[in-house]
Amino acid sequence: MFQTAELMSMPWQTLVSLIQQDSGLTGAIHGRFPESTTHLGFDEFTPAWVRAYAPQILRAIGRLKDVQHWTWSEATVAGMAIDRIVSDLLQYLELPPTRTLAGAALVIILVKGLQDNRTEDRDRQS
Amino acid sequence: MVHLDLVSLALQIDLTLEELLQANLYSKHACRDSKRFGLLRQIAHERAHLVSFLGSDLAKVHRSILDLQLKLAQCILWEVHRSRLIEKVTVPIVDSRGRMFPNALSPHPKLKVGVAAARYRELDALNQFLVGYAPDCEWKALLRAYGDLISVANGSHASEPTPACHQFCEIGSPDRPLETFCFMSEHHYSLIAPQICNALEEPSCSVPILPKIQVHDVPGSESPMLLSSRSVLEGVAVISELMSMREHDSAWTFSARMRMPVTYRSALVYCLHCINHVSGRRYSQEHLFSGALPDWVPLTMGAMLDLALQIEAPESLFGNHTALIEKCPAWRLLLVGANLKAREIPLLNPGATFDGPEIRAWLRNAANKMGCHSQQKPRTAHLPWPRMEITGPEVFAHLTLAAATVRDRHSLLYLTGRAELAPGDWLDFTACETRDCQQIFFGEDHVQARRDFLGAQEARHYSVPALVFGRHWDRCWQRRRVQTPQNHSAYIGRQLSDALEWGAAPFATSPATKPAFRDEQILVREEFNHVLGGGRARE
Repeated sequence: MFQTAELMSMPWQTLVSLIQQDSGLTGAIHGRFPESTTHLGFDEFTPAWVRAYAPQILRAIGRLKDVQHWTWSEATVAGMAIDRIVSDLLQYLELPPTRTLAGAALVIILVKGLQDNRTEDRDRQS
Repeated sequence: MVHLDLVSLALQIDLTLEELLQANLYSKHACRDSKRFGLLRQIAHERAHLVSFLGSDLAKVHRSILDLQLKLAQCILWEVHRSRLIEKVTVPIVDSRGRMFPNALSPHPKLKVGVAAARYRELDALNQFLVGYAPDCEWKALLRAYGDLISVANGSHASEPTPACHQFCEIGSPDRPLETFCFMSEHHYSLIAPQICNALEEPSCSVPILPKIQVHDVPGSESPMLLSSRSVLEGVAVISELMSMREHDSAWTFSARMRMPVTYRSALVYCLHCINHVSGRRYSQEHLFSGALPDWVPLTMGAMLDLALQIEAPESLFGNHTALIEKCPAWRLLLVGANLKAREIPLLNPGATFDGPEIRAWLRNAANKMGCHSQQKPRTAHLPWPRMEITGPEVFAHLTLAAATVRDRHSLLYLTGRAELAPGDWLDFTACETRDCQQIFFGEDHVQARRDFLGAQEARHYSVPALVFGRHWDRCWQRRRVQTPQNHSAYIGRQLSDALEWGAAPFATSPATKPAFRDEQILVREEFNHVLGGGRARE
């Protein structure tokens, strides 16, 4: 059984594999966020996909503001908070808590993607 | 890194122009560098998506859905605009569940907005059904949404679906007799039921939204899986990769494709199963991705998948085609497979090639068996684009005609871009530099027309849903924020007014009165406001 902190140190592609193994979770994401259907990628859950849909998913569960104030270095705090976001997300998607592993992987890439995006934005503006 | 946007019909590469130039993709040595080669393959994959989508009427149905959704969003805007009780317009106007934000104070617009938002969501579900995964709805909602499309296409009216046991929706118009349109006919059901798990697992659920399959003769793919339209689209693109890869390094495809999630692979697995069933072989995905299969196998798979995409647009609905599953690539693939397994459609001969006469004859015969009338006569329309100036709105018609014509002329080779084409036969790619990514699209001589089209698609199909439903909100504002850091409410007001103006004709009481939203009316909801670059809702 993975701990959230362990998942947070995993590479992006590994996290994506965990998400994609759970067809119930991916199905629920596509069902609840149908606008993501317009986006056909060579792979799904890429940084571009996250940039387009992460804010929307996090906003829908009322967590966007929290995540925007984090820095990735606050790993322990973020780890605890990620567990809560996963629980909110699964509840929103009406999925059972048994999907925690894939759910946590998804939330981690959403948060990571938003962080990277913010950094890029800052670099661009400076 | 590369993705296709089905709305703007452009490929987007997440690289700056400098990075893209450094990658030097068109160098002869690009194939020797794994990173550059990977990028080339991704572009080829997305290109195959684009041409296969445009070459099928699926693109037209998708466009009809987008257009109808835009009309519904305009209806909502109009209701909000004409309500004299509103002092502030809170955007987004409706939330994801169809509840209105405090814009409408009287019950009348609230009711109308609720109905329009519900129809909008049903069209979303239909879109999912046709190009995505399993929608979260009942088949009746899909039937109602398709009935809406037909009503628009034919100027007719569609009734509510009748009780579940009939699974029908009646369609008629003043000059046509009432016709019956169903989700799935008895004939279809008897053909399909033995192939799907849904019928066995859930006997009470006589009509599953999408088929769940389980195959036992494709080694390594024995688990049950859902056959979705997206898996058909992915299957076509992967087969085109394999066709292109034959002269390159197949090891790359093998490793990249074995990681492909099962939701993408299910259509390919189903095709292999049908071929194994008829030929008595045990071909697996490993054989497929490593290039170890004889050519006729991927060729048959490509032909099956291509045929599954060839749906007919709503305007041709009246007539013999009255089941919704015939419009869905996932279900159509199951019908093709059922015909193949029943030997109504033969396997391709070992000597067949990707654009030879055998494949053309096979596609025509198979289309005939499937009852696809539009596929039986190849389209040979003269393509006027390279010889005349076109404007933005004509772009979609030209793109679909170009792709369909080239498909008819070159069979499956059209997917790879390697077909030998007549001058003016094909529209090449053009790169368009944007701030943070490269957009690639067809039409090298008509960059301005394509840019106009792109801009109009962004404004209509992304900005309007963003302002009405909060969809694509971040996508719209991420680019806009840099360009218009000040006075967001003025910008939003202008966008809302433009959206009303596009659809003003059916609503306007007087042609002289241009409907408009005033800057001071606009209030952005707090949880959406941060994207605009600050904590203040209005400037």
